[in-house]
Amino acid sequence: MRHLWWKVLCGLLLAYVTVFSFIVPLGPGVIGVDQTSLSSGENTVIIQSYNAHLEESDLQVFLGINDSTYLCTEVLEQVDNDKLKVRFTLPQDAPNTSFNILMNNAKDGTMFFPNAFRYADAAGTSGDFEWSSCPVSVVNQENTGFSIPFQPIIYETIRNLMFHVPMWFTMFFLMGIALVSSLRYLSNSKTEHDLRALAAVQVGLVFCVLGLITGSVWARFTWGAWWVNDPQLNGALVTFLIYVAYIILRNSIEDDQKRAKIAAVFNIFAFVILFVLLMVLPRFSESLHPGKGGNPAFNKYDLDNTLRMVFYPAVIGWILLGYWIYQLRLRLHRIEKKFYYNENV
Amino acid sequence: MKALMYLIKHEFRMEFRQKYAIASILLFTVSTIYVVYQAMKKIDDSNVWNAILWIILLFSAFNAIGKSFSTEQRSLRMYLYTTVKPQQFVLAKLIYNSLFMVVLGLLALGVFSLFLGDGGLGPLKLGTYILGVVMGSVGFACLLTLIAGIAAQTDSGSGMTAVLGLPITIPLILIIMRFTTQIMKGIPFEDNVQNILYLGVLNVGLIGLTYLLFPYLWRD
Repeated sequence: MRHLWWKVLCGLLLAYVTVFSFIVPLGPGVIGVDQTSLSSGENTVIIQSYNAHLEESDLQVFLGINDSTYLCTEVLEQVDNDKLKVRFTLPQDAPNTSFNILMNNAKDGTMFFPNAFRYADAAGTSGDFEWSSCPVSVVNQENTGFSIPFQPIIYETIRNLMFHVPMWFTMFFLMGIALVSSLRYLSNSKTEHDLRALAAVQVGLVFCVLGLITGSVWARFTWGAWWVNDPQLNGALVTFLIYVAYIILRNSIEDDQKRAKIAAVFNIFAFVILFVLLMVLPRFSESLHPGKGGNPAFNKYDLDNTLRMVFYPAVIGWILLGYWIYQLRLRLHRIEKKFYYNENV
Repeated sequence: MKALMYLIKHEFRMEFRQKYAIASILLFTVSTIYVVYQAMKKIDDSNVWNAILWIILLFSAFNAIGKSFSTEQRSLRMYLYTTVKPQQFVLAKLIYNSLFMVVLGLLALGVFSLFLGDGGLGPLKLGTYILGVVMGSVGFACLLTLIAGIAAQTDSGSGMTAVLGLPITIPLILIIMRFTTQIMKGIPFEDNVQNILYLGVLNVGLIGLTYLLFPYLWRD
């Protein structure tokens, strides 16, 4: 039983991750407004929020242009659970620019919605502008509740972070095992290492497919399409094709020794090219994908402490699960070898 | 070194002795270009021109290099096995395939422009474009030599080259397409040079990998 501790750990971590990533509520935020252009004079707009406590008495709403210029608004009424009606007066010489919304109360902290409105008026200015009569010291509060961070566009799908990203980590881990096994096979020609490479590639391919599916679903909800032409996505698909080619190559050779050697050579060659494709090339071109082409990855500023508490266990849990399945697969291959050839490996 | 020169000479001699092999590759390339000509007459859109030229070059490369190991006779291979080192053998193959692909690539570029117009390339950008064709052809040769060696060992022969090679050529294609599209757009060479340097580094890496891995394929 003593060597089973990591399997128990894997099960506990994945149970924890699944429960937490589906039960912890999404943090509060603003998701839209009922009009996007402003006129000078008095404006009345309805702001749509998500999971926010609009009934709190200390709720304040600001319009912001940059980090230091804010315009106070008057909260008129709460239309329904998520909607808030506010009124503000925009001077004619306000700058011709876009306005952000900031909503604030002690419970939810500051909720930020960028580029909510546009103001374009012939009398508008383009220079610096200052509003007085507005206490701006209250903005940028932390949310005190326990929640998954709210991100514009991503919303609830941020929970996919615990599934999509660890799939690729696990795949790389398994393909790394395959590479090391192939290198060791070429140096000592033991069948065991060939079986290890085969098992790792087979399980790695499963995680590759899961990564493609979870990524595709995520892309549908955030980018609007199941598949987009993007260096990161091309890299993922080519990875899949290369390892399918590896399996095809193995099946096309009858002789065991020869198959093991040639498959090992192809695996090493393919891994180096994959490294170029996945790690180096996307950094040289534009990409929608977080973490590539100048886009920040999640951990730059979005991954707050709540998300970290779930994300890191998720990565460890999925990698352990991948390793577990890999071991089962390897034992199966060993038994087959022994059964068919009466050969101990 | 002497053995290397001898092996390269041997490759050329083998190729010219089997004239039908060269003829079939040339026929493939030229007739593909002619089919495109029949379908499109003249291509004015520079992106389409560029894409079709590289598709033709890609498939010509598969066709040409795919059979570079399968045409050898078994007895000859046994003889070479006892006399030269595998590293020398594969270097000779790489050099020969690179030279062959460069000639084929430039020829395809010439015939393609003859039939389908220059796609807005013009004489000024031609020099850098030729550099792109040369580097791309060498890249195809470096990448596909080992793959052809692997495919020759399988039971399904050279048909395997396409299955194994197509996914692997995508990084190379992405770099070379970016380089040549930027030439067509008229972006100055200084802003484009990192792509060709990158291609050069990739080629050197591929040659190194082939050099290290080929000896394991050599014996069977």
